[in-house]
Amino acid sequence: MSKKWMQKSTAALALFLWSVAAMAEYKLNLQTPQTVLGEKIYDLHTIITIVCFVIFIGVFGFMFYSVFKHRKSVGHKAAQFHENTAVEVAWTLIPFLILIAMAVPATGTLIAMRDTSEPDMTIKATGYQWKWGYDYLKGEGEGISFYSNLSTPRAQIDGTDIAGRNANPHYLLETDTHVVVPVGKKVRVLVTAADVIHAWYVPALAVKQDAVPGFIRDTWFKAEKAGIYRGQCAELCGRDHGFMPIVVEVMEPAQYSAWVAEQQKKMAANKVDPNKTWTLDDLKVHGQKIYAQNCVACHQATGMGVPNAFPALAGSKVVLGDKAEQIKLLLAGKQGTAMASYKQLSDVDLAGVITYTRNAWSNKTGEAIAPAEIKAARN
Amino acid sequence: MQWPQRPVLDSDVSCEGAGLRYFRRRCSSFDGRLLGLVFGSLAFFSIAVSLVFAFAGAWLIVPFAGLEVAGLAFSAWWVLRRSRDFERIACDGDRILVEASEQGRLQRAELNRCWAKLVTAADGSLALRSHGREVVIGRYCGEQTRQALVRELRSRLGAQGI
Amino acid sequence: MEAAHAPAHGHAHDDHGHKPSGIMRWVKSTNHKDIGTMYLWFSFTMFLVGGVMALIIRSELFQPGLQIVQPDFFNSMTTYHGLIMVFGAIMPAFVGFANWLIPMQIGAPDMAFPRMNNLSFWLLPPAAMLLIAAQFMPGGGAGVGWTMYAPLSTQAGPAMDLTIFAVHILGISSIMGSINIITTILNMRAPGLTLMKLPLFCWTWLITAYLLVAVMPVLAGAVTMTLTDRHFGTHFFNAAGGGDPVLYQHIFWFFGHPEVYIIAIPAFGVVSQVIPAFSRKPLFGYASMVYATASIAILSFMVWAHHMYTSGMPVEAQLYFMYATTLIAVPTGVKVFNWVATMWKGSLTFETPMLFALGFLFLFTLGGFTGLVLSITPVDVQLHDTYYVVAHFHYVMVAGALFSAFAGIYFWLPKWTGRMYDETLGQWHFWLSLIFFNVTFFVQHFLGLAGMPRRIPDYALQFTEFNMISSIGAFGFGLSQLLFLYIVIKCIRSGEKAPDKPWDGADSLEWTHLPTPAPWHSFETPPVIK
Repeated sequence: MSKKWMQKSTAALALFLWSVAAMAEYKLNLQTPQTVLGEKIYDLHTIITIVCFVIFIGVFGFMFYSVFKHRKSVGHKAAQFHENTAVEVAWTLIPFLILIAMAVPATGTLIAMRDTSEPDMTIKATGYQWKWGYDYLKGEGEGISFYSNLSTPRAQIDGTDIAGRNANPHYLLETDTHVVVPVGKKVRVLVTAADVIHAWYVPALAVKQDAVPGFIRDTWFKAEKAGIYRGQCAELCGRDHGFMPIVVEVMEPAQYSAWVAEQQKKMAANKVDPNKTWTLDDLKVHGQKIYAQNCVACHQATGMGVPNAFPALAGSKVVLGDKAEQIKLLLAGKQGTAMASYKQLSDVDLAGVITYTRNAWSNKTGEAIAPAEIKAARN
Repeated sequence: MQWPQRPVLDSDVSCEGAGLRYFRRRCSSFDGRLLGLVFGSLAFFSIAVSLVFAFAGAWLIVPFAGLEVAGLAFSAWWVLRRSRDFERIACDGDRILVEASEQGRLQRAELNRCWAKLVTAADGSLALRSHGREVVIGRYCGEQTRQALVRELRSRLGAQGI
Repeated sequence: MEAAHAPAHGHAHDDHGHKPSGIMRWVKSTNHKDIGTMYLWFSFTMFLVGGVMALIIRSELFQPGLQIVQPDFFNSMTTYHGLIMVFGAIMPAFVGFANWLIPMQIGAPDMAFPRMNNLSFWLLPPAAMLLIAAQFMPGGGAGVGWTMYAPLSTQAGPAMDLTIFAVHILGISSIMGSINIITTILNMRAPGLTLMKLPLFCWTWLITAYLLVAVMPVLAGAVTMTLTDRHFGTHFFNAAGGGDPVLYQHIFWFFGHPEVYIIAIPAFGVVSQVIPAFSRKPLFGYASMVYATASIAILSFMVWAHHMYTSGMPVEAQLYFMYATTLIAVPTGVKVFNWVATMWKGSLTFETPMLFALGFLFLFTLGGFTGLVLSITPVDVQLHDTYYVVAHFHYVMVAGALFSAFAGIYFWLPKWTGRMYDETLGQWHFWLSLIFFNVTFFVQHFLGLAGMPRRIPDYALQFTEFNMISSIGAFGFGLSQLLFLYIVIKCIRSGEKAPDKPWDGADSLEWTHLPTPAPWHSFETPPVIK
């Protein structure tokens, strides 16, 4: 009987250890670091955890010895000592020394972590509710600029497409555009925000920096290996805080140069002719795209918003009213609400999206807002 | 730390023959220096912190720190005023002497044992009445002690009271 | 000398008059025991409310995708779960202990300011109502996190105003309670009971009350500035108007870090009473316990920015805050060593209070170690705002403060009610709580290490298994607490009669000098302490 039980429990234990080992590859520890600094942090964490574990075993070894040997039920009589200066001094000083030993490598790593000087290239990451915007400020690729939105289909999130979700290896960690950087180059990231505080967090690159509106902070990384590294916004920033991932794609230098060339070509092609005259239909088509990227999360594809949270645009007084008011609202945002300023969008984008809202769903004003009107309102 | 084994909840009314001595003080382990140190350092700390933040631009902490210091000061004043309160009653021969110090004011009354009677004053407290005058007694004690006091006084007073 | 006798003012009056009955007994009560009881029931109610919110969070996180609640409601739940647990459940629970125990442990008849005591309790229910009412405001509760960081809080809906108002009321209540506790301990001690003879529970509350008075104006100022930024055109935290959002974080955490110890230090006090009692041996290193507690309190004012390593600070400041933070491990270690040394060579028994105290010791230390890991700035930058932090502070708050509160309740319940609780059920409650607590929170360390941010309603698929385990644990933990409610009610209604001193090793005044159940007025005549 007991032998059988032994066999069973050994099997269970083995199974448990196996499953722990199987998970250990990817789940029980920090993500595999892809930078030298990340490795340092990884090792620092390992060392401290081991030190803590050893002290833990020591202290609770004593406690459990006491629990088993000094119990009343085994007839142990209580001693009455209640102080011992030598012991008390020792257990004050020894932890202090251990802390100093821990602080030394931590200091070195921290100073290296904060040294953003002499970067090979500089990228600005701007947090918006709820997406990231990137501007390549210096180095190869200077001038590239784009937004990066969550690309996981809504249907996978709200559960209408569970099969799709389960088949999606990068559920919630995928974006329409990637931050592309070359391997082996020191990339300085300037982090800021347009509305509330966000945080730019890519675990495998060992970076996390709060994006504070109105201020610019910086951090850096130097990826050692090409690959795609995924992270998320780490600071609560409102409704879609969980839905603004960060995807960094590290490329070999040659590939990177090709990417830069391609981007620059695309930008040239996309450059809107300032003298182009926009028809109502052009604006509507363009505006619908902008709406899908920026507005749909709150105001919904139906234009009906979410009751008590986000106002409907279909039949809205603002949308159907004076266009100057609506332009002002989009440029300035509305204080005290989730409606942020969208002045970062181009004149054409704003003109398009306003035209779209004024002519979609039940709204039929038939008005086209010219990009020039936005330009005028900006000044 | 050694505590006495038996509860010490007896009354401390002492009687020697016909005489009676009674003494109670307000429960107060008042130590002015300690209280001053604790409240003073708190007030100093709150104000200092609020000023530092005010210097950094967040001046709206200052009024709250001010309110709090006012609260601390009021509490200290309240305790200080009452820290030496006591009450004592002596009954000897024909005289009953009641002496009480309330908030630093000493009050004395002398009553005739044969005329005084125990009454409940308008506010519910225990009092001695004689010749239309009421003298509150039994202030700084609990119910048990107060009952012991009533018992001892009743056996000595001339007039019938409660 | 003829002297008019003004009726005696102040609390001397409350000594006489008999126990009133009915609801008015509670509404008008100035008795420290009644008020303590009300604090404890209030805190348990809030614990259930906050617990339901936690279960909503865990239900949503049971699997990936948005199935039960929408993100806004989810954010509101994380916010009010935090606020209600911190300000509504844990803090009032320990104020309840303070009310019940401090007068009994120092040989006083009642608290120093009984009427103020009544007021500080009765401010709590309206504040709780405001927090709950906030859920029903247009736009729902404010999904800003319990830290209420600007500018997210300045753009939140009208629920934020109710929340700010509630925080103000809670702050006033805390300040009054603290002044009362400080004055009681300093001014109402029995003759001969010098400070270094105080039971450790009183010492920890003296220090806690000091911390509370010191930091509450800062919190009040922080939320008021949020309010004026929202409605009165100021720009304290608005960069566009010359303010600084990070200034809010400095102010909040200058309050918030001591707040952590405001919760933990009374828990240390309870455990320091329970462990010697069941070890039948005096507390080891009484003086060093007092000094360690005071050092923790002082250090707590100097480390606030370790919550802000990623907010952006000069590297020198980060170094300073890292060194100062690791330093806290020294006095905390001293306390843990002292507790273990108290048990060493004792004569131990393991009734429910002792089990919870040991659970506290074991798990709080674990939480302390993850705290040490987080204090190292480069590591924290990786783990900040991930589930590792969530796991860390739940080890400190739940396995620390809450387990200690359970230990205290089982320990003093006989003295309070005159009846014994059901020991078997009590032990069941302990083991269920212990197991489910770890099922819930231990796996969250792994989630955080792997990079799952906190406060997200939906997550990448790689986090699925651990979230599922955590949610199952949370429901088990929640249900176990209903067993606790049953045990307490059973004890009050039909428990066996308890002796004056049911625990062999208990040595403070409420056990040695007062009958069971404790009389209406604790000490009518102060005992003399030799």
